Amino acid sequence: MRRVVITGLGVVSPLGVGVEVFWDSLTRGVPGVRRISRFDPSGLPSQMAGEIPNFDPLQYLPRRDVVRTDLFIQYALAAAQEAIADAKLRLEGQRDRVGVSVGSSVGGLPLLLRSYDQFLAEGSEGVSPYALPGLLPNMAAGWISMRAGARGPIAAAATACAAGNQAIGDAFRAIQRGEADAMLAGGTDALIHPIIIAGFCALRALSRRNADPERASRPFDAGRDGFVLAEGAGVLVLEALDIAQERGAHVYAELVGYGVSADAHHPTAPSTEGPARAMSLALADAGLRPEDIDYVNAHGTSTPHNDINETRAIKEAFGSHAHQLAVSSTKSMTGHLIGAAGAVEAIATALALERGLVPPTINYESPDPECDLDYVPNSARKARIRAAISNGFAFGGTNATLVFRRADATSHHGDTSG
Amino acid sequence: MDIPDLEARIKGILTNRLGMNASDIRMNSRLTDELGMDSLDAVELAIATERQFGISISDEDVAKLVTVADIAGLVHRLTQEQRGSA
Repeated sequence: MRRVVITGLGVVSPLGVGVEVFWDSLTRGVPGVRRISRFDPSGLPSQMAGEIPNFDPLQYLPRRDVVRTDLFIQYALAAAQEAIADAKLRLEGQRDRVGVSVGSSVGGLPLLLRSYDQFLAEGSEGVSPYALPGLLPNMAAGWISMRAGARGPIAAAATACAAGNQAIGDAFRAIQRGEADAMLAGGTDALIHPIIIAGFCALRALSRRNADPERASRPFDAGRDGFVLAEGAGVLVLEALDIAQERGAHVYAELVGYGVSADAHHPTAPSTEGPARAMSLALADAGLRPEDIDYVNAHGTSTPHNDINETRAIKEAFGSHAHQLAVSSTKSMTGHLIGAAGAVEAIATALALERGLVPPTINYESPDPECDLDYVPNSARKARIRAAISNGFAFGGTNATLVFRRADATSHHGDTSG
Repeated sequence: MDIPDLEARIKGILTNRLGMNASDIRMNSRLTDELGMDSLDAVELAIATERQFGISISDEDVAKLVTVADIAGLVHRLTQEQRGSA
C-alpha cells in the first residue's frame, strides 16, 4: 500500500482565517470563544460560541459563488484554497488523480431554515433554486472539486463530530489503495444558529458559563459544564509519499493509521470500549505500539461525560503508557467545530509534530480526580513528538482515530511502516 | 415606470441576487456567454423579477432571454399586459 503524507494545510477557525494565525493563537493559549454576535442570544441557556472573526467570503470567493452557498461551503472553499496554495499542488494534467473528501454534520441547516421561511411566506415559488445545491452536506466537497478542478474520488462523511476524522480517514484509504494520488480532505460546519444551540441545550451538552465565555470551554477541568459550539473548516492536502517526494513538496507529517469503531450502545451517551477500540485499531493499522505515541489530541469536548470517558478509554488503549502521554484538547481554545473539529485538530496535530510544540489545554484550573492524565495545562510545551493520535467521537456511537508520525521519521525510518 | 428605472432595478437583481459584478453588466451583455448565467440563475432571475415587478413569467419567456435588454423588454411587455388583465 502507498504511504500518505500531509503536504498542505488550510484552516478557518474561531482563532482566525489561515494556518499561521491559528497556530500562533493555539500555542499562546488564546481563547476563540465570545458571546454570540450573529444574533441576540438572550433567552438561550448557552449564549456563547466560537464565531469566525471578520470572515468576509468575498475575500475568498467570487460573488457568484457567495450567493449560491451557505456559510459551511464558503468556509470549506476558503480552507481548501489555502491548503492547495500551501501544498503548491498543481492539478493540471492529473485532475482525475486528485479527489476530495470533506465532511459536515448537517450541511447548510441555516439556509434550509431561511428557505423554509420563504416557503411559508410565499409558497413553493418563494424557494430559490440556489437553496438545495447550497445546503446539502456533500456540497462542500462538490464545490471544492468544482473550484479546484479535482475529478478523482469524492466523498462526504456525515458522521457528526467524527465527520472530519472520517473524511480524512477515507481519503487516506483512497490514496493507500491507489485510487488517487492526492486528496483534499477535511471537514466544515457553520451551525451557530438558535435552533442548534437550543437542540444541544436540550441535551444538556452546552456550557452555560455565559458570564465568562472565554473560560467556558475547559476540557478535563473539574469545573467544566459542557462544550461550546464553534464553526469553521479545515482542509488538508494528503498526498502519496512517492509523488510528494518526486515533486519536492514540504511534508508536515505522515498519516500512518486510521481506526473506526461503533459503540452500538446509545444515541448520545458514549461507551469506553468503543473509543478505546478505535484507538487500538488505529495503532494496529499504523503498525505502532502504544509506547510509540507521545501526544494525543483529544476529542476533549469539555462535557462532564466525554472527558471522563475519553480518559478511561485512553487508559484502556494505552495501558501504563497512558500516563506518559501528553494529552491536550485544542477545543479549549477553538470550541467544538462539530464536523470540522477532526480536520482542524488534524492540522493542530500535524503542526505539533512538525514544530515540536504541543498546544495546551487552557482553562485548566482544578483537577478532576477522574481525569488524571497529563493534559498539558494552560501553556504550550516543547516536545520532540515521534507520533501522535487525534480522536473524534460522535453521536450515534461513532469513534474515529487518526495516527500521525513525524516527517523526519518518514524519511529515515520508512521501513517501519505497517 | 420609466426605462432607466426599470434597467436599474434589473441590474440590481443581477448583482444582488445572482452575484454578478455591476461593472460587467451592460444592457447588451449576453446573459449566458458573457455573464455566465446558468439554469439555476435563470430560475432565480425569474423568481426575483416576478417579485420585484409583480408579474408572472413563464419558463418559455425565460428561455428566450439573450441579453440584459431582453429582460427589460420582457418586464415592460408583461407589466403592460398583466396590468390590463389584473
